[in-house]
Amino acid sequence: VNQHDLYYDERLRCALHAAADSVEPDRDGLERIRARLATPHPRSAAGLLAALSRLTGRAGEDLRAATAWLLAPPGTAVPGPAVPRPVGRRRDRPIRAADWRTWLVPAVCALLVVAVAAGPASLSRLFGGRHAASGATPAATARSNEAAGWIATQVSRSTVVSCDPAMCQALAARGFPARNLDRLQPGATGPPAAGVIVATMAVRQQFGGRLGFGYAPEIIARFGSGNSQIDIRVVAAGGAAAYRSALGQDQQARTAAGRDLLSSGRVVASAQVRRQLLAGHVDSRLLVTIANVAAIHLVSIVAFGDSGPGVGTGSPLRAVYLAEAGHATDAAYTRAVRALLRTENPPYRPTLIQAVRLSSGQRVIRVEFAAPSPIGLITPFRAADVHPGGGPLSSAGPTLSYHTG
Amino acid sequence: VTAAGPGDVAGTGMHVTEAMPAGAVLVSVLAGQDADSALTALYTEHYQPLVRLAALLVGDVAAAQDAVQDAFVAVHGSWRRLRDSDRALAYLRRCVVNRSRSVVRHQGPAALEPSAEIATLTALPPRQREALVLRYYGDLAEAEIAAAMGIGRGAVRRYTAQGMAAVRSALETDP
Repeated sequence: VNQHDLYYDERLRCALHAAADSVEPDRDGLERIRARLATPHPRSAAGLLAALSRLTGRAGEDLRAATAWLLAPPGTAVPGPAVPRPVGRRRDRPIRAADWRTWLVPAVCALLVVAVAAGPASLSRLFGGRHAASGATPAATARSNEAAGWIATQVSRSTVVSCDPAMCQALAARGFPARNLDRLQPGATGPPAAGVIVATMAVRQQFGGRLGFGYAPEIIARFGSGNSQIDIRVVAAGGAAAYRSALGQDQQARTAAGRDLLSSGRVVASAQVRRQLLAGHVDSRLLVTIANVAAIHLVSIVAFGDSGPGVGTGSPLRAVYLAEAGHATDAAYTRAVRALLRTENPPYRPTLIQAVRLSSGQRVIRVEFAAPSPIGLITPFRAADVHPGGGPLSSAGPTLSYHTG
Repeated sequence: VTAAGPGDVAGTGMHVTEAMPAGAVLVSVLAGQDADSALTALYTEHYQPLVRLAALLVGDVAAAQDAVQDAFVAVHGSWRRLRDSDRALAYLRRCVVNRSRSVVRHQGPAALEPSAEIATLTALPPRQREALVLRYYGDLAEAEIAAAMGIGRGAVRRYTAQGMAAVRSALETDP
């Protein structure tokens, strides 16, 4: 081994370790493994159901033929069924009634055994044929419905969503604008021309690893697991590396903005809320919104919510529950906040401003923004940009502590 | 694989009183345990490195996690056979490599990071890629790589040499 070889050995080793270090497995791996252990192996189940289907199909034919025989006058010959016959019997020879008595009882017994073994749900699926025809299991259908429902309510309607035909149809049925649905063509493997892509099993197979490590590295919501898993991913127009870099800078800016908010003396926050703000977990639009509200009224941040199902803290929190600090949140305060936020222009106009009552009885205002969270709206505070006397956050609004883009 | 130090082994209720190589700790901890406890111990120690290994092989974290979870399920099912041996990790590793190979066969290879080295590695035939990943990321010995890939040591040497030659050639033209 010469120095030349060692150089490339070391180069490859470093590249592999760097790439591997960027991989952070989900924390629910053990739960997923246990869930798989608790459910039958899909292939075995599929094989069993296929076998049962064949068996019940044959039994059904037998039953129909037997019914025809029972209804026929005694001694009448009936057409021969498609069942194995003894060797040597002529194919066109009609089966006599006496022959069928030996088949009737086994056929009925077979049906009963199948009904007991497979259960009513499996039988209805086998005979109904709806799921079998579409290739979707009830679990997959449920996850698909969940994902479509989440997208329809949480993803901005101005965002173009790439999806397979079935998912696009489901989204259109839920009122998502058809003009913003990008139906993925079979065989297309280039970068999706969209802001969000719905990674169903079909889409994952179509794009392979290009999705996770190239076109759409960030998952903002996840439904189900295994083959029925559906990931809602943000498309990185400039590639995964540029996206991750921008995301890192954005999180730094959000952390700085969160720190400024907390040190402004205009907000009251619980320990949990403080941790989320200081970790940069809060959507930049929310930070600006809270700063705007806090500039006028002292505000209590009761809690944050909605980071997307199945992704933990990986995706910014897009909703906040606000209350008037030191007072019960009354209708006048709600009206004032609503009036203030409704004057905002996109992207700072919330999709939801709602007065709600928490289980504790406290009245709060829920402010929510649509997914996906934009990146680069705010940039980190730079001391040189602040005029003398300018505090980290004041009544002049959010732009004193960070710059909105 | 990192060395385990003194402390509780998560989820097993057992205590490691002195630092020793992780594999050795694990084997001693696993001996005599039931499948569920062993699964937890194996998961605690090896899940993340195995997902990273699989991600390097398949180029997709979700698919890598699926492959590794499948492997853990397989180990759980085979625990009766494995429990008295020190082959739990080797078996797990082999399952991961096999399942990753299956993923690549169905979905095609993908690059984990857009670096020249990884792109070159992704373009290699699957066996060469596996041999290089197991050697340069897994830091495995030739025999361990052979066991993980289910091939002989001679074949490992051949795949490694061929793969490395291709990587050098590609990187020399694209430094």
